[in-house]
Amino acid sequence: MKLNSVGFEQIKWISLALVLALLPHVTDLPGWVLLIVGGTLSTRLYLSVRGLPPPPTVIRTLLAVFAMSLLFITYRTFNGLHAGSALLCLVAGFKVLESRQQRDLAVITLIIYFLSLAALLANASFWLFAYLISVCVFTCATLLRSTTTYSPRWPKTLRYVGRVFLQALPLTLCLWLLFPRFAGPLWQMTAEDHHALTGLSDKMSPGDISELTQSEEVAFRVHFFAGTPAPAQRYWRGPVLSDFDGRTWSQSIPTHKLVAFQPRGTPYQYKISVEPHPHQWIYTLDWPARWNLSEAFLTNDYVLMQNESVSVPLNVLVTSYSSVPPSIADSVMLQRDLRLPFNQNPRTALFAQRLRLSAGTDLAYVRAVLNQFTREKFFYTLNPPKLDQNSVDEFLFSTKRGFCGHYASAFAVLMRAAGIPARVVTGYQGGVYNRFADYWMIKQSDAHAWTEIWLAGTGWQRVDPTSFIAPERIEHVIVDRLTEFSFVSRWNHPLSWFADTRLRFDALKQFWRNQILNFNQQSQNKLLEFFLIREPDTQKLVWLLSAGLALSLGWLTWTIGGELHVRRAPLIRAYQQLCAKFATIGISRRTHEGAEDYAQRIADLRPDLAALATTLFRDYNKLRYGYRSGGGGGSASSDRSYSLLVTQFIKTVRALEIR
Amino acid sequence: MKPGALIDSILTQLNQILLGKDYQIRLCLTCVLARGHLLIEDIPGVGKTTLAHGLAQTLGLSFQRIQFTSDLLPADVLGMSIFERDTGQFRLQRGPIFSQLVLADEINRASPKAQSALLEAMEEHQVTLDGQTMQLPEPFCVIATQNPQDQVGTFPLPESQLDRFLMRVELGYPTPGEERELLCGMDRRDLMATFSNKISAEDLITLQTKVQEIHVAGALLDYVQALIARSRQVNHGLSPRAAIGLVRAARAYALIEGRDAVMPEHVQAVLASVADHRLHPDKNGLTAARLIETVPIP
Repeated sequence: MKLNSVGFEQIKWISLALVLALLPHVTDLPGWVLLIVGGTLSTRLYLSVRGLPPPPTVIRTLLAVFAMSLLFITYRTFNGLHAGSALLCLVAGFKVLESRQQRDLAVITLIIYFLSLAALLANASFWLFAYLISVCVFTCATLLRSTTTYSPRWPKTLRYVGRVFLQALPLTLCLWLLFPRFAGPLWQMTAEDHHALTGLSDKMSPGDISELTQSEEVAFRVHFFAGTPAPAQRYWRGPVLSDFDGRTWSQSIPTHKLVAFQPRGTPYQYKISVEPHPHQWIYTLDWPARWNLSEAFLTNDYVLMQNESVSVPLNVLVTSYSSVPPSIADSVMLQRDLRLPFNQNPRTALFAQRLRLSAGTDLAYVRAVLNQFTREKFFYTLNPPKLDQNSVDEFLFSTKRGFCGHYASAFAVLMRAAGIPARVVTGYQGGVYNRFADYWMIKQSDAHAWTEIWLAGTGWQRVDPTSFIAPERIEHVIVDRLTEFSFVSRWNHPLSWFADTRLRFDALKQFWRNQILNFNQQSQNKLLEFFLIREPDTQKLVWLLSAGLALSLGWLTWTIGGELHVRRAPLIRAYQQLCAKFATIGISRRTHEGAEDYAQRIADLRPDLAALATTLFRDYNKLRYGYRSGGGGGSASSDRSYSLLVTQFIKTVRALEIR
Repeated sequence: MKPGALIDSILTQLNQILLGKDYQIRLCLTCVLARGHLLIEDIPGVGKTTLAHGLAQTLGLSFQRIQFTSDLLPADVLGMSIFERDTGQFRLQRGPIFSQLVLADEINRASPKAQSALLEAMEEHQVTLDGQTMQLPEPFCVIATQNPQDQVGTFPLPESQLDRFLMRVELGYPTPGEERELLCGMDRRDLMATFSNKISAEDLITLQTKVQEIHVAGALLDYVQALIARSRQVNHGLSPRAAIGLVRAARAYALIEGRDAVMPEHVQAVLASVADHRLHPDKNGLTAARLIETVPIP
């Protein structure tokens, strides 16, 4: 058997590495790709355990052609993230099947690195990154173990690989910091990716939001620069729903841009980091006034929108004010916000008209309705009974159980029935404070719905009927799902360390998202300005990048070169110098030639230099091979005298002149 | 006497019988000092037997010669039990292997059975006859001579048997000048009769222990490992046994050269005789010389 051929042991480990690298792709790959790759791996493993060679070329070629055609039939292309990843997976599988030499292992290793990269293109979460880095370390260690003639132990190999990765760090940093960035996202999400995202939608039927409250996913994070609004003021505005068909509320289109308005009240400046979601709105605190996103605009419903959906993580600086001036409402909009579906929820309409008559004014009517909510036995529950077409009638007069969506919907219908323009606003309310990194974390479970009504004189005004039914839903700072149910202070909760750890991890995630993933052209320019480079542009960047690359590659060469001759380096360098000096007379040492043999050759060709060469090269041999450190008479004093001899030799060589 | 002077006197005497073969003689002595067994391979008549004889004479070792033929039996090598009519008992007759230096002449003429009897004794330094285990004398050294494989009537030694020989030396033809001197001079056998023991068996054991004291630096082992690793890039690389043998032989060679540490030159000097019969250059094209050329000294 050839000694650089690969056996079961090597194939086993590289297959394991490949499987680990494939794991992040499993959900995206068609089943047959997994089947083929699994088949090739197990076939090769079975063959190698029997000591058999890979299957013949004909079979391998046929298999490959078959798989490639299948791939093309599935995707109609070999390009793109999904088809490309599937292709890479197949290539890796077939490479394992045909691997017989160490060279093949190196190729598989490279494919594994590419697979890891492809996985990051699809999903750039911190945990995936950490996982893929460890997969790469493991793969590199496997390659190292398989290609050295003696199999080193794992800890030793891993230490070595760790060093290699650390050595790669300057190069990585240099490329990451200085490589010119594109303005837009490198990879657009497909419609398929959108589907998987959770979040509010532009419609609300009874029961919708309760699904969201089960999700622990973070919708967005907010860092307040100065002053944090009270919990009862923290309404994060999402889509405003004005169209009602008796059961479902939906966003009305088109949405007009809002004319500039003069905000009032306390300003709050904050940075909001929105996670990708399939819609165009950006959540803001009531009421947004200024933002630093040029392509975003405010609709006449005070919703911050951009023209495209939020497909990549987004950071926006926003200033919101606690109140807005009474606006001159345009009649079209007010008309819209009075519309009710014909002949639906008749009991509610009747009830509203009666109550409005007895109340006298609009304001008194609003109070009367809210009083009705508190006086009668309404319950706040996340598991309300199902409602039919006349949902508001059923809810108000029979079930009386529901959560924010039900109350907001019922309240808005009651208002409209009495001639008061009203609309439902969905968004988030509350949030968890992360004291480790000073930001608020708003999860999907904080999803909420409330109403806005238009009263002559005051304009649009927020009314949250839920706060009358379940004030604790609004005013309590929910620290964490885990502690929410137990009603104990989080500080003496046995699981508080767990909550803390989660917060710390989330802080890390936020750092990853803001500092690493969102490192864009702007941040790059800022960085350059920090280093006092004025007016940074691509050209300067390229110059800097080249300089950085040269520096880090130079450093790498120097370190690796240094590793080859550790410690005895001065002696070896002196020897190389010595050889170089003799080479000037036309006799250069062959790489395999021993020092004394070389001296002999010099002596034969140049008898005048015989004595000199013989002494010098013999001295070198003695110093290099004749010195015993540690055992065999090696003591501190002999170490010292040895160093002296080396120094002397180096000096002699330096002073030497050969003609 | 100092080791250096002892070795010099040995070399001088041996150089008298085999003219112009100083390097080969050094290699042979290296092998003996490294406690290895020696295989001398060459065509008949270049002085293989003479060299073995001379070595025994000079080193003061008891000497036996076994001429290997196709009908040689293991008993002819190891010995046998003989029934004595006078005493009515079996007496163990020790074979020729029971001497300090055994010359196995034309080893590849004997049947594999007889060959392996010898080779087992070489490895174990003991012989088991009729259930009785007997130690072979110390020092113990086998010098086998072999005709090239393409000669008629030979059983080539298998790889595993070849591996038992620390070194293989080829003598080669003498140069014209040396040949002239040879032709003019005294008959080698007569010359040998005038030889004296330069050292005793005890001296040889002392020298063999001295070999173990020769220093081997880490840097040198790096070189040795690089050579070994390079050889393993082809079929039938050097085995760990060969690697150990290489270092041992290099130590002995350094002693002969009068050095107290092994230099890369010493490794290179012995590499061909240690490695060539293990590398099968005819199969994979890698000779020791090629090996040396392709591995830089670190």
